[in-house]
Amino acid sequence: MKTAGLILEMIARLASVAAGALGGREKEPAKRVEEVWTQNRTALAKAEADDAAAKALEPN
Amino acid sequence: MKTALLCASLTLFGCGASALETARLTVQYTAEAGNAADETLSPRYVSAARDALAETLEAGEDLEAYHERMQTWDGAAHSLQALFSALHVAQRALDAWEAGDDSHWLGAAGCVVSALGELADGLTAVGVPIPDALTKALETLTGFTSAACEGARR
Repeated sequence: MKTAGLILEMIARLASVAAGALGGREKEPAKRVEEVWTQNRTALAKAEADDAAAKALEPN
Repeated sequence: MKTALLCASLTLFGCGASALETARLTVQYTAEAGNAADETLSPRYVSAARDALAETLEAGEDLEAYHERMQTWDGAAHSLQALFSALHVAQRALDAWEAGDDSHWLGAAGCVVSALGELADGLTAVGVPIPDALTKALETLTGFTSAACEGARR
């Protein structure tokens, strides 16, 4: 019984720490993917590089 | 730190009311990791492409030879695009979940995990350091889908 009580108390403390630590985050809504990663820069770089290579290496 | 807090949330709150918000934060952090990988990879890709083009021209070779030189870099770029796409699908799955339909989330999360793993392999193949955020996102998302699969098996 004592052990169960201690375990419950530990879980409650952990939950309160986690809730407190996340408190700031919980008030702010999570950002959407399109807000965080607006464009795939590598894909754009690849497209430009492929285009440049095609023009430079096209047979005369 | 963010990863530890997310894992704590998953353990303590399980599949309760905060599961959606936890999933949203996980997708946000994963997108941040993908963005970091993109920032690291794109200038290196540009540099590799310039070198490959210069070598191809000097050797008097054709476009096919250029693409052969760029094969590993293109693999990394392809895996980054796969993650980019998977994250947008995951975002739509979250929106559907918020509207009451959570049936698409597990599959979408699985695709993100798969794309993260491929991206890590792709970056390693071209010698680009894997951002810490990317490794942590993979660990967090794998834990999320594993926990959900455990719940489904009970």
